[in-house]
Amino acid sequence: MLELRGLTKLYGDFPAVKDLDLVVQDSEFFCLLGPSGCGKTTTLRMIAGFEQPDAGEILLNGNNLSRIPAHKRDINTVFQSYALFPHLSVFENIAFGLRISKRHEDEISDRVNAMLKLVALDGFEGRMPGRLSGGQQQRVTLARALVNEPKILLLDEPLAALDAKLRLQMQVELSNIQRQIGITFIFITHNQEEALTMADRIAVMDQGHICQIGGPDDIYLRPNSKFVADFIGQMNFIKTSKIVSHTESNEIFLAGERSFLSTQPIPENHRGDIFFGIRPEQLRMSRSGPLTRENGFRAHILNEIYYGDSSIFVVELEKGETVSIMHQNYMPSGSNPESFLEGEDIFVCWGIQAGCLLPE
Amino acid sequence: MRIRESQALILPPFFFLVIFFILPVIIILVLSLTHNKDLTAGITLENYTRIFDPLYLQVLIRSVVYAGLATLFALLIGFPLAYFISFANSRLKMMFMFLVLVPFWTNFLVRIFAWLTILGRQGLINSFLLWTGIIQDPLQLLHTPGAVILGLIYGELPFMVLPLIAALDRMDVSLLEAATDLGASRFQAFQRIALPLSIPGVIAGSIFVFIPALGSFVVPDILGGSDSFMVGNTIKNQFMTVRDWSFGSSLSMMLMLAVLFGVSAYLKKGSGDLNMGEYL
Repeated sequence: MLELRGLTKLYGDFPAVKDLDLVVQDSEFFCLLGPSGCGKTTTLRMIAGFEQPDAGEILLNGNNLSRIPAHKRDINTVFQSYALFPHLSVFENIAFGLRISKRHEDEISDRVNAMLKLVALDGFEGRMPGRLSGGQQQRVTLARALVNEPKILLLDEPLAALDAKLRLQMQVELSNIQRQIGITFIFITHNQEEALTMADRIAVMDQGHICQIGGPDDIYLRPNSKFVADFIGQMNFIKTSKIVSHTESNEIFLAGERSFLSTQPIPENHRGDIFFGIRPEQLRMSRSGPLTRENGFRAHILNEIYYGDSSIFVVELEKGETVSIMHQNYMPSGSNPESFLEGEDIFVCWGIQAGCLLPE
Repeated sequence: MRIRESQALILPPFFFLVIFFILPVIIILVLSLTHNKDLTAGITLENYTRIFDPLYLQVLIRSVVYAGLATLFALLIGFPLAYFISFANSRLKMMFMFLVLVPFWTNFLVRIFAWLTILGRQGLINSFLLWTGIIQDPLQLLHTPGAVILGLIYGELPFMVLPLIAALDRMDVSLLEAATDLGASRFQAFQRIALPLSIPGVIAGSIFVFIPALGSFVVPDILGGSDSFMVGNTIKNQFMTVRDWSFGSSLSMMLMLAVLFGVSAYLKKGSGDLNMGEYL
C-alpha cells in the first residue's frame, strides 16, 4: 500500500503539489489524470525519488521513503521519453537492473527472456534501441522496469508518443500485463480516455491538488465539480439561477423564467454558481415533446456534426443556451431511428434523474 | 555531362584543398625521396633510413610520449570540467563555455611566454614557495620535460573540452535518471551510462589534442630544454637552420604516416570495442 500524506512541492513560490493525500492499494491500476501543469508529473517524480518533497511524507507499506534515495526504492519507472540506453542492446537494457543487483548470469538470462515473452519481443534481444519502432521501444522500457519485480510501477504518459491505433492496442496490453503480474501500476496521463479504459481508480488533479478520486464510472457519471465534468468526456453546462427543493425532486430555475425537475442532489457548501451538467448522450431530440418523468425544452437545431455511427447535434434552447446532443444514426435492431434536419424546431428531452448539479 | 548545382558547391573547397593541402604533401613526398640540394640525382630512401638513427628515433619516441601524456592529462582534467559544464544550468554553462574559449583571444605565443613568468626561477611559483619557506633555493621548473608537457596540456585543453561537452550535451539526462531508477548508484550510472556515451567525445577530443601536440614546436622551443626537444623542433631545424629540406620532409612524412595509422587504429578500436556502430 502506498500512502501520500500532505505531500507538498514548491518551485520557488509556486506550489506544484500542495498538501496532497492519497492511498493506492496493492495490485491496483491507479491513474493520476489532469491537464499539463496540474502537478501529476511532480507527484510521480516524488514517489520515484527524483524530487524531494518540501513537506509531507510518502509511505510504502508503512515505511517512510523520505530518506531512501531513488536507486534504493522498490519502485521502477516507465519514462515518457522511454530513456532506453542507446549503447546497449534490448537484452542488456532489460538486464540493466539485474546486473546492478549482481544477479547470477543464468537468472538474468531466464528473467530477461521471460520479460521479452511477456511484452511479445522475443527474437529482438540483440537489436539496438535505435532500430526499434516507437511501440517496440515502449515495450522494452516496460520490460526493463518490470523485470526488477518492483512493488510499484510508475508510468509517465507512456503512450503519449504512440499513434492512435497503437495507443489503443497498448492500452489493452498494459491492462492485461498488469492483471497478469499483479504489480501496482500508477499511471499518469492527460488523456481521459486512457484513464477510463485502463484504470481501476482515477484521481483527477488540478493545480496541485486532487479534485476527485473514484472508479471510472464514478468520475464519468458523478463528477463532483465543473472542472472534473469538463475534463472527462463531453458535458453541457447550464448555469442555474435558483433551486427550490420539493419532496421528491428539486426544481431548477434558469435565466428567463424557465425551470425543470431533477432528482440529483444539490451540492453542499459551494461557493459561486451551481451548474447543471448533462452529457450529450443523456439528451434526446423529439418532435412530440417529453414523456412522463422527463423534462422538455423547445429548441432549434443549428448544426449536425456527422460521425458515421452517430451525430452530434448543436441545438439552441429557447431563450438561451446552446447544447450538444448525441444522436445514434443506426439501431442494432435494423430499424431506422428518427432523423432530424438542421433548422428544424424540436424538443430537447431528458429524464429527471439524468445529469448532475455541479459547483463551479 | 552537366554538373548539378549541389555538386558544384564542392568545387571551391576541392580546389582549395588541392592547392593548399594535396600539392604541398606531394612536394614534401617528392623532396623526401630526393637527395638534398640535388633534385636531379635520382630517387633515394636515404632520408628515411636516417630517421632510424637512435638520435632521431629517440626524439620521435619522446614526442609520442609527451603528446600521449598531454592527451591523457587533458582528458583527466577536461572530462570532469566538461561533465560539470554540460550539467550546469544554462547561464553558468554559457559563462564556462566563454571562459574555456577566452584564451583564444590572445596569441598562442604570448600565452606560452606567460608561462615563463610563472615557471621561471623568479617566477610566481618559485617566489611563492620561497616566501612560504617550503623551499630554500628556487626549483628548476622551466626547460624541463614537465614544463613542455604542462605547456602542451594548457594549449590543447580546450580542444579536449569542447568535443566532450558536445558528446555529453547530446546525452539525454533522463538516461541517468533511468539508470538510477533501475538501482544504479550515481557512480554506477556514470560508469555504465554517461561514460560509454561520452566515448565519441573522448575519441574526438583525444585526436584533436594528440595530433597538434605531437607536431608541436613552439611549446618545447620556449618551455623546453635541449633534452626535451620534440620532432617538431627537429623538422623546423632541418628546414630553417640546417637547410636539409629532404630530411625535414622525410621526418614530416613519417610523422604524418604515424598519425594516420595511429588514429585510424584508435578510431577502429574505439568504435569496435563498444559495439557503437549502430549508435554512432
